[in-house]
Amino acid sequence: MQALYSQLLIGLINGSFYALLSLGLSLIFGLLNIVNFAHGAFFMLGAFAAPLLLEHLGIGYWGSLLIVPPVLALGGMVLQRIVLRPLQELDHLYGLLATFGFALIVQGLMQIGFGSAGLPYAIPSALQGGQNLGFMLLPNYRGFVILVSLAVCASVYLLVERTRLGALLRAATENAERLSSFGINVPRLVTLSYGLGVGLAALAGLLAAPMLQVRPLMGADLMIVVFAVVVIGGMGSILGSIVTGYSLGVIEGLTRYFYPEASNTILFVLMALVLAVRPNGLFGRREA
Amino acid sequence: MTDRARASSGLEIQGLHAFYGQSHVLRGVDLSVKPGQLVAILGRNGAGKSTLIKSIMGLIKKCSGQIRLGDVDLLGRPADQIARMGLAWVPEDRGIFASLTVAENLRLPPILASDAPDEAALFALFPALHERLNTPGTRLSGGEQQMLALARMLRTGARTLLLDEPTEGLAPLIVAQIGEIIAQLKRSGYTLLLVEQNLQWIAPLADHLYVLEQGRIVDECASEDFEGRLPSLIAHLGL
Repeated sequence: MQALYSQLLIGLINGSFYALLSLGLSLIFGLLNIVNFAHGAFFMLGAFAAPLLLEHLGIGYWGSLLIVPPVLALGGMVLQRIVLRPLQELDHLYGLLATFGFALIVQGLMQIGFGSAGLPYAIPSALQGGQNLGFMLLPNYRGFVILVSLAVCASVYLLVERTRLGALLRAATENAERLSSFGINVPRLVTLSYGLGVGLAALAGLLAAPMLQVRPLMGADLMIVVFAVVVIGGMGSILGSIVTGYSLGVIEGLTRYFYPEASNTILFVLMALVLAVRPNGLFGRREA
Repeated sequence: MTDRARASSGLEIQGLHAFYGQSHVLRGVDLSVKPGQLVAILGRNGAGKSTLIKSIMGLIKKCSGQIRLGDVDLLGRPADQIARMGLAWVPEDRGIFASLTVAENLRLPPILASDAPDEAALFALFPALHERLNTPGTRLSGGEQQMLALARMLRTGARTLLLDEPTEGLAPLIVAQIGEIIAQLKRSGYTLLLVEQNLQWIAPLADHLYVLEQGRIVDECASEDFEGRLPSLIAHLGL
């Protein structure tokens, strides 16, 4: 039984990353209508920032947690203004290719700078050790990642569903041109959303740094699964990203316990099934 | 808050051309809406009425000519900037956002003037909205959606309103209510430009009528000449 609980825990941890990453992707897709291939690169940069800040500036985990997401969010906003905004009048394929190109450049540069093996990063001392739950040992850091992810996902959900800024985001997702004719600066809203999405990816990367080997392709590997999560949840659906992110993490963990051979493919099988039955995803709005 | 939004500004359009891709939709439109006037644009489907309104709002990319709100040229300005000058648009489809509640739809545009009507005043004018604040906007009836679209724009404090076919698809009783509200707005000093197909409904309200046909103004008359010009207007509109 302990092995089952362990797989469930790993599933929840993976689900936490899936949810954070797909949430950012959904925000960006909703407003820009592009699949942001740069997302994995920002996740990787978030993870790399932790050991680099420690080594060069002596900034520890908690300082990084405060600094890295907003700084990378700002970098994302600059990317959106300089690269993506000029492309927005063109076919969305151009935006997709631009983000893909950006990801390849960043990954390439990081591989040149740090090699493919990457850097180690230790769990912060305050979160080392674990809690004996009776039926399993819960490592403190993993519990922390799940809690932070849940809190951030709930906050973003409330931001989008319960605030004026959220109402503006939802309206812009529905009809950006119409919203601009009501006196709203939609390009600024789009830039802000891109920054928020990138900030979430950076936060996920930073949370992953002490658990995974920090290496240039860590984002690219994870994004393949995250794209499946977004498609299953419904492109652009905030609730869909969160619920599907955690659910698929758990399903993947359970599959690893019951039928390990299928654990790498189960999500893609589910994606194919969902696309066949509900092409707009489980939580996506059906086209009128 | 802008002073411009507080004042009811007139609209002057000269030699306006607008294009959708290769399609030349407006072919040199000239018209004038003086402050406090209600001007109606009449025309058949496809005459270019909605394109005219969208051009004024900065939503048609390829335009030439002149569109002035008061003393400011609007051509080439982004739509959000034009709206912030106190020009409010109620689109033909009412522009209600499906994912937003009535309250969220109502409070979406920014308030532009300190003397903008507060929500209590708006609910006095549109009582049905008050009871349905938490209802998704698109669950409202057509008439209620039109009321919401009007209330949303009035709440901004804009004093120059563009209404695109406000009576389209509405029951006669609601059309009469909308007429009452528009007459009230006119009495309050709002400047109104309406696109309409319903000549019988708009004629008693309007100060000036223009007829748009294939992207050109082909006829016009002031309200005092309306009766004498009725046969010509009817002929243009194919009624």
